[in-house]
Amino acid sequence: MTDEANNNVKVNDALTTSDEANPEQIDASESVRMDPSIVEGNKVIEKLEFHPEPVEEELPHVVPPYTILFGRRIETDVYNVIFGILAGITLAEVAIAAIFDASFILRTPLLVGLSISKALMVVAFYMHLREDSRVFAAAIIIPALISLVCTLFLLGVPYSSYTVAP
Amino acid sequence: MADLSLDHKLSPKEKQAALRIENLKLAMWLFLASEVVLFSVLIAFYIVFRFDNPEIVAEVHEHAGLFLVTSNTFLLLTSSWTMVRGLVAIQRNDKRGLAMWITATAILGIIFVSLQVVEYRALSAEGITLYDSEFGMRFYVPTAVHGLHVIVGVMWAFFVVRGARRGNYNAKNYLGVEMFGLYWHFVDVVWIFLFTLIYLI
Repeated sequence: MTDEANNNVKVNDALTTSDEANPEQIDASESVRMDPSIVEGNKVIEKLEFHPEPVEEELPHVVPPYTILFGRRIETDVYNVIFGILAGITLAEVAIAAIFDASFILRTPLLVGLSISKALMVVAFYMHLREDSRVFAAAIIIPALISLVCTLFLLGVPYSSYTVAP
Repeated sequence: MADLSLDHKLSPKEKQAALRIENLKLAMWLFLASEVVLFSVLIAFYIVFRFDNPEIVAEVHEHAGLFLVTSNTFLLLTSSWTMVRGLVAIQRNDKRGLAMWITATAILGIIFVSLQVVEYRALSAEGITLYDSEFGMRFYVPTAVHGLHVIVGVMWAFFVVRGARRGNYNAKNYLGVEMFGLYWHFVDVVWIFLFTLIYLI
């Protein structure tokens, strides 16, 4: 028997012995891998290594556990980051309302701008409109715009009745 | 998120399932669009009054204070966050996590409504009621309609929790959770505008 044939016999014996010793390993036999350095030359196999492959379930929609914000990697998912930003903006809104209490003209555009940015973040990230079909976006944006135009029109109408010139 | 793209590799049965999901989500967005119209009318009603009667609104702001309503705003923002944590849990097939996060969402919603009742009682004591004040009708109607939406959301949340406990949702089937999430986040978006327009401006 040649050296190579001798090695093969020993490898097979070792596998068989291993399988008999631990029945659980029979099921995992597909995952058995041998380190090639072990069977070099005429040496008897010293060990068999098991590398059970982790069975990864297909979870395509789970968000990654990190967020890239302005080029910086943050080690938490996007939902936590958005929550932090929303909380920060809310505190900023309360502060602006207190600081510019006397100035309606300064306060109003700032606060409206911040609330629109908060709403957009919720809709884009929490309601997933950023990645969903654009038809859904159109379904909500068109009535919102029409309502905005109507509100602006109402604001243009005088509150009290028109006075008729004598 | 739960959408299956309608690509050509899908079998006819899978295509039908994907189409059903897309249709249900579109129906939900159209329902939310109708809600946009409802709240726009109520908010416009308030804004017109606000611009024409700044002195009355300033007086009410002095009585109302900001602490209670700011706390309520944080509660609702937190409830939106617990909602998405629930969605992430079921996407990872964690049914217990889903039930836990959605229960937290419902509890935050209940606290929100309770604090709103406390606020209403405080304002009533100051003489700002639905009929006895010009401000009352413009203030109570939009905030109460929003509160009603929160109550409906809380009931829906408990329905989702019951479904989670019965094993109705898993990593491949969580459309019911997503639908509830769309509604709840919409209620949060409405409050974002009400908070700014009624209490801060």
